[in-house]
Amino acid sequence: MRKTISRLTTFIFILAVAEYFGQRADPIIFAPPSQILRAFWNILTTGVLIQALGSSIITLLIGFIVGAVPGITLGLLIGRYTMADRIFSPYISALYATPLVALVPLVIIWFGIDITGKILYVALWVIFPILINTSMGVRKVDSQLLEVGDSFGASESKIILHIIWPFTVPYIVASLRLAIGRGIVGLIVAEMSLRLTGLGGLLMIYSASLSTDVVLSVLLILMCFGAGFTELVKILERIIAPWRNNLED
Amino acid sequence: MSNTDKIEINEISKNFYKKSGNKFQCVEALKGINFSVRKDEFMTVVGPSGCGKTTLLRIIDGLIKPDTGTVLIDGNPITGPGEDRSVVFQNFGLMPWKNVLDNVKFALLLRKPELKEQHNEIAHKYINIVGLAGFENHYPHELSGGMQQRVGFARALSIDPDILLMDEPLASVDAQTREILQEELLKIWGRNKKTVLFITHSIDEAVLLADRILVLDARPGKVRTIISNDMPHPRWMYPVRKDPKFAELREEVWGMIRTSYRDYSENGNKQAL
Repeated sequence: MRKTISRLTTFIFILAVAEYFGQRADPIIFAPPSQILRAFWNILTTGVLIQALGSSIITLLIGFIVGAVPGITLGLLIGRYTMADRIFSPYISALYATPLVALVPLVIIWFGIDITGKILYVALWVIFPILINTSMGVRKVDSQLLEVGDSFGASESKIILHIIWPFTVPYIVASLRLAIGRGIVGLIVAEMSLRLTGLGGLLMIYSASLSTDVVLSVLLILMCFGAGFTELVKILERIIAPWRNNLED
Repeated sequence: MSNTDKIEINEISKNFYKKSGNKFQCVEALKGINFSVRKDEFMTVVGPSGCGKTTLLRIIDGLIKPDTGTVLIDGNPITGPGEDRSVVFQNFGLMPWKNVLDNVKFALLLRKPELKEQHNEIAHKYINIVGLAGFENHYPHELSGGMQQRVGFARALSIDPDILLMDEPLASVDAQTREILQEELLKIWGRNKKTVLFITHSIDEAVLLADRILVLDARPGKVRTIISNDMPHPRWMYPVRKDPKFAELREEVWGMIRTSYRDYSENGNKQAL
């Protein structure tokens, strides 16, 4: 309760200070909270925001799935089979070390500036944390449980289904949380650098016309966007892998 | 091979390679092991630590292959794990994401897929036998160590194997639970005869349970002797530990292990250098 009160007081204080200085500042440099709210109302009622938000969410979700599915599959392969590890690891390390922003021109050349390019670019950001965490999880599988499987004559597919997969799920879900943050970075970079769409596109368009109030309101929306998705994955985590805590002991 | 031999171990040897510094050192885990286990016999295996007890059990289960020698079951050489054997593991080996019922059914799923309709019924039967009725929906982390190993017993028994291989199954259980489980194991074995190979580091346990006690030497692991225990069954019906014969056997086994330790420190050091 005390915490809430002190937080609320600080927040109101910051708002007041921003309002005071914002009123007196050049509107190109800064906008007061009241003006940001008005700009938000404006893009909301004209439908600009809804359309951008819809486009961003769709791109992010599809890109996330396009990155996560091969990420999990490759992670399982690399974690389980030394051969796959030897074959793929150098490329993965190399790509992981490459600043992904530098790949934007190549993505444009290969996949164009529309939805395909954006989805694949988001996938590129998403795939690595998932792949690396998954393969780490597989390597940590309790060797005694694998022995139990062998002893009772489990086939490779049964071992994967009944031992490796359930053991690795908590690692995968944790990696999804990491990946969603990176996915949003990839999304905004793609929307700003490829064809201007979504929230990233709004930022570029309105900053070009020096509408700082809109830019600030979009930034605040982005903040909520990121927090919302992270929270969503956390809820997912509790539903999918409730035994996680028992493993971490 | 006599008609009553269930498991026959012929000249089993196994070496491991251990990296020490930048050289590989060869460790002789087992050397020229020969013995057999009779049908429906309860045999315990004791020996100093590092004598390859667990390696021996894993070879008999078929989890690892020996460098030389063969394991015959009913006269046929084994090629890997089979449905005639199940293992009870030292650290239970239960899936933390499966409840008691599903952990038991896991063995049935793998070994008796043709009986799919009866899996629930069979699993419940063995859960009852090990005294866990009412705990079917509990997860391993909700159970004590003793109860977890009861699940391990139920899982191993559920597929009705001829041979039970037990790898220090009571080593991770507290002392009181241990005595209770020893007694229950004797009861289960009395009602439902199996050939049992039971590894332990407790001499007391080895004598209490066994028809015969196999004493192994360490480094290299080889058979020192086999001691018969003809104290009458069922042993849970009378105070076995008070019987003078029990103390005598304990002393005999302990004497063997003591000599084994002495030989090891004399020869072993020579080998290590």
